[in-house]
Amino acid sequence: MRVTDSMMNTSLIVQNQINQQRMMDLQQQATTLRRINEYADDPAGLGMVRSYETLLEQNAQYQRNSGRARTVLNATDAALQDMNDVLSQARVLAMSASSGTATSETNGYAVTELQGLIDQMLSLTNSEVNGTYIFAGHRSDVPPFVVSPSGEVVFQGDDGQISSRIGPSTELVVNVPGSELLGSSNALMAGSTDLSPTLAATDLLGAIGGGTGWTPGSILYTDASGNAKSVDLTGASDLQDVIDLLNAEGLAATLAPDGRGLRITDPAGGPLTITDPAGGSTALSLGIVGNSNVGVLDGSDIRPAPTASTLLSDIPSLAGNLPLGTIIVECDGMTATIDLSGVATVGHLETIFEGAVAAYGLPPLDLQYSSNGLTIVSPVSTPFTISEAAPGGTAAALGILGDGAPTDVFQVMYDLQTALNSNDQMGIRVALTQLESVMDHMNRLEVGVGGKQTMLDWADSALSDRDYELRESLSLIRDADLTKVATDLSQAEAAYQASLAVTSSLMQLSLFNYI
Amino acid sequence: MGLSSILNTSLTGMNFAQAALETTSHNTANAGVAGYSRQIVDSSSRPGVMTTYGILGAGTAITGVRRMSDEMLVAQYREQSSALATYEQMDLTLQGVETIFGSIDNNHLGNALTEFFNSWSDLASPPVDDSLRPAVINAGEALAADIGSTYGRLEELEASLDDQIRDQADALNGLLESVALLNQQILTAESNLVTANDLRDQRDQILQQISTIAAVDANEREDGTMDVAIGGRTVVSRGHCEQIVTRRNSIEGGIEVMLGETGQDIPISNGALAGLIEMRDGQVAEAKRELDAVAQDLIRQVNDLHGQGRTPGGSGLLFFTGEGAADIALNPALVADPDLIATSRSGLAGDADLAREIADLSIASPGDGQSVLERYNALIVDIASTSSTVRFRYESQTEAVESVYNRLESVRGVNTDEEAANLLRYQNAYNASAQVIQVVQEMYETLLAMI
Repeated sequence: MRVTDSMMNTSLIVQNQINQQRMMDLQQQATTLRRINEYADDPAGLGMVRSYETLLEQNAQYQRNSGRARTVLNATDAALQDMNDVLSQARVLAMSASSGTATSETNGYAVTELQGLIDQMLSLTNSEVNGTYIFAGHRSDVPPFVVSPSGEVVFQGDDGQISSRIGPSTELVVNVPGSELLGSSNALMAGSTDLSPTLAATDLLGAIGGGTGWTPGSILYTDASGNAKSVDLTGASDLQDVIDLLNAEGLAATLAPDGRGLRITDPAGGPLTITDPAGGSTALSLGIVGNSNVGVLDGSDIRPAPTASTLLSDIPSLAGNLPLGTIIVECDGMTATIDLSGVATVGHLETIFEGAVAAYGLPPLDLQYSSNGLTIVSPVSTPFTISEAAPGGTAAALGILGDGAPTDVFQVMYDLQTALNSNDQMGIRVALTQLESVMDHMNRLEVGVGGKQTMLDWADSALSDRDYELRESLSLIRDADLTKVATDLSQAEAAYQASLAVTSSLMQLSLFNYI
Repeated sequence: MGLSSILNTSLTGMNFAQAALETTSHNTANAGVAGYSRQIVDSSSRPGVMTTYGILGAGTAITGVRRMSDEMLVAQYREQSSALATYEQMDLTLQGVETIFGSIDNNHLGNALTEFFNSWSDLASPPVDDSLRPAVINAGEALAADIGSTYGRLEELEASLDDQIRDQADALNGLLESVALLNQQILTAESNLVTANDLRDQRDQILQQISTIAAVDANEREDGTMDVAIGGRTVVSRGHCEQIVTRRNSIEGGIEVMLGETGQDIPISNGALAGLIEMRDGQVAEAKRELDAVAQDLIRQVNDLHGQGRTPGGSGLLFFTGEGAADIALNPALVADPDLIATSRSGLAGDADLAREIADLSIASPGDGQSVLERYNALIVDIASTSSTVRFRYESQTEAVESVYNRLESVRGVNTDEEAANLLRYQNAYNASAQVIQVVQEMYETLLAMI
């Protein structure tokens, strides 16, 4: 091929141009640290860069959401813990009020203290984060719990769920609606029939007074003749021993005719006074502190608590209602018809009742018994109802006719207050059971919140992993490999220098130089 | 036969050497001129007179000055240059589009979209915080403004393409007139049977320029004039040329090229004009359409949800006003009072179902379609793919043009070394002929001394 000047020129220029273009590309990569500097460099890569950028931004948003969700969960957790503390204190109050040492004076203190606890509970249920009431459901801009003019606490929130998006497909419900907080303890029915069996002379002293009573020691009495004497009862082990020791003193001690306590008679016709020596409580534990001008002193109820082997026929409250009939239990649309006619003991009653409830497919209701009577606790908050089957009378006799319903935390505390005011031991014990059920519920809520906090931890670490992975992928596509760019750049420089050298020396060559 | 005939013979040699030297100097002078075709002097030995000894030669005859070129290669070069000009123009325009949508590190519209949806996610995230409402307004306004200005810049680009198309058409008309003029000059110059080498070079050069504007077919007539056709329509015929006009199709909005006189449509296949029209009616129009569609999706999807919302101050309000990318804006009522931003259907303070659903529009659109962000990213990738294809074609076309150019230059280009050699060669020839004359003169002197 014939070679001409302009061909040589053009090819030198084109070659220099190519070298320069290459150097410019590499310089751009080196200065921007990006592999893709123009759309044309890698359209598919650009698309991936754009979607990775979007995903990264969204991921950062999820991280922010998660951080804010955590403030709500932490506040909820703290509030629930404090509520549990408040309830424990109320429980301590109830327990000391139900012990024998309680007086109307100590009960009065307890009522005042309880009011403080109620106020504390109210402010805890109105906890807020950033001006948002966390237990209000969707109505989060107003305090969810307010005291109505009639003095009751009313919930004015709703059960709306508040969720936070903490992942591309993860939503976490962060709130505990007040409705759940307030009224969703287990459905519970506190029976109204005292099931303590009639006292027997053979009853051990350790079991009297529902198992809480006996204090060994001496008692003091003053009789008709004005003698003040002390009787040492320390050696007694059952009621018969007490009766024998008192009879030996010349007093006539028997079981009272109603079978609930002791009757001490002064054969001299009184007046008779029985007290404890200073610091002692032996007489109190036997229920015989008192005085009688006619010399007949009936002690208070010191019957033992029912046990599994307690015969129904020994329980005074059930007299006239034996044998038992049939009751009907309904819960959640299911019905159990329970025939109790074969029941002889309290333990048997429990077995038959629980067995039948389970057999009919109802939630496994738990039947408990104490001196206060029967208590039926459901594992769920769904209310249940117990009614009579013809001819009737059984449920009423057992004191379990009616509805078992979830307990309102405030109502429990108010009930306790009322019981304390009137020193209603039965009421206090019912409130105690209810308090425990509410505390169980609170504990469950707290565990639920704890679980969500764990989920949030997990989500946080997943999000930061994802952040790292996305940055890695983005960098892999978008960023220049600096080592490679530097090497390529020095090669390109060398090539450019070489082509410049060739150009300048070729340009100088011409035959005209030799003419 | 005689001494004087020797003088004449030598004279023809000197004349030839002189002509050749002149051509050499012409070639050398034009060595750097683009499109110049080197010339060579054609010559032959002149038949002499019949003598008793036979025919004696009578020196050199110059038969003409020839222009070294190859019409087929010239046409190929024009064709390839047209294609190169197309891609060059497209590449240039696409760089403009790229600037509008932002470089790799400046995804302004994508970021504005993400920030807008993130501001909703903030509003949807517990704990509820009303102080985040103005952020939604700000992000929304920034987004609407960015969509509006991006769309505006695309419209400006479109307008500047319109201007360039008109300018290119004007330039084309000027060049076509020049071809017609040169046709006449060549016709006149060649009427006395010589070849108008340099005028032809000029005409080729102008045709080459035309080919960078629009692909051209050139056919030489026997009389030496060149007929020129663009898109199958004859636009230059001998000394006559047609006006080319461009016009916007009022129905489809595209650009049409036609003959000014008859209004006949001219399909432009290649060249800068073709590249401009293809970009204007293709990628730029497409980018405008898609951006508009993104804006419409955004307005519809956000408004559909926001319109279901309730706030204490008002219900069922639009979030965005406007129909598309050109006029998207925020509802002024919301800007004035951010508390009117609806976050829920219930209107309850702690409920944020709508805010969450609006935030989720960034992940998926309602229904099966692309989300707004996906659609926007698809638009960018579409532009990038076109850029990449055009860039690739531009680079390979550059090589194709270089190869044809080299073949053409191999035929017509000047090699100065060759010319230098010719210079020496013809100088020597001239000197030799002159030496012969001197010898003849000496012979004359010898003869005269004898008298």
